[in-house]
Amino acid sequence: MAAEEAAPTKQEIPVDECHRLLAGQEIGRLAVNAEHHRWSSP
Amino acid sequence: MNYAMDRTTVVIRTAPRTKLTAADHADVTFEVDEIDRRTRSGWSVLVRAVAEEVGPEHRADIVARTEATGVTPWAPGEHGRWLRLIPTSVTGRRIVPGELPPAVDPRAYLRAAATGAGRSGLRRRDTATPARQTTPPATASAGGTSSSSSHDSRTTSGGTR
Repeated sequence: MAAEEAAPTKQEIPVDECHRLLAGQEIGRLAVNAEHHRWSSP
Repeated sequence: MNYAMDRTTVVIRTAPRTKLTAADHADVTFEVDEIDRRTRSGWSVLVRAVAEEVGPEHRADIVARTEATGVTPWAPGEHGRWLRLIPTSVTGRRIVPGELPPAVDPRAYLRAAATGAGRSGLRRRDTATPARQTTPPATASAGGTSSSSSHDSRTTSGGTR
């Protein structure tokens, strides 16, 4: 019998871990909604 | 763009007279993510925030903390303005990979050895017991009733008090 492959799962990340993940990275994408103009950073 | 954190506040830098400076007091979203192509997994964190340009009207300790993050833009050009993204909500999602099957199923080797396809008698002897384990129980794929009754009988005999 072949080994069964478990399906991937989607999880919500707790807020404190979100902050930890943010602190561990350097690059992000910014989107702005200002003066009726929408703009996002590359 | 690159950034740094001051506690829970995102700090970025920008040049004067850019679209970003127009973001002062605007609603912004800031997204950070990481992916692993090999395991097809990853995470993303989304910060909804209000942007605030740091200026003389701010308390000295806020200015000091902002500048202490030491954000230095990677992109060339003037980047004299500091922006703080004060979060109103922070959410994150993660895709956890499923359990992948082993690259080589060890039972394939054991089966070969048990049937004489192995290269030596020593290996054939060593695999005699595991080879029996490779034979699936007759009830394994027969559905829930037979399988569960087999499990129940083992549990009962082992769990008698």
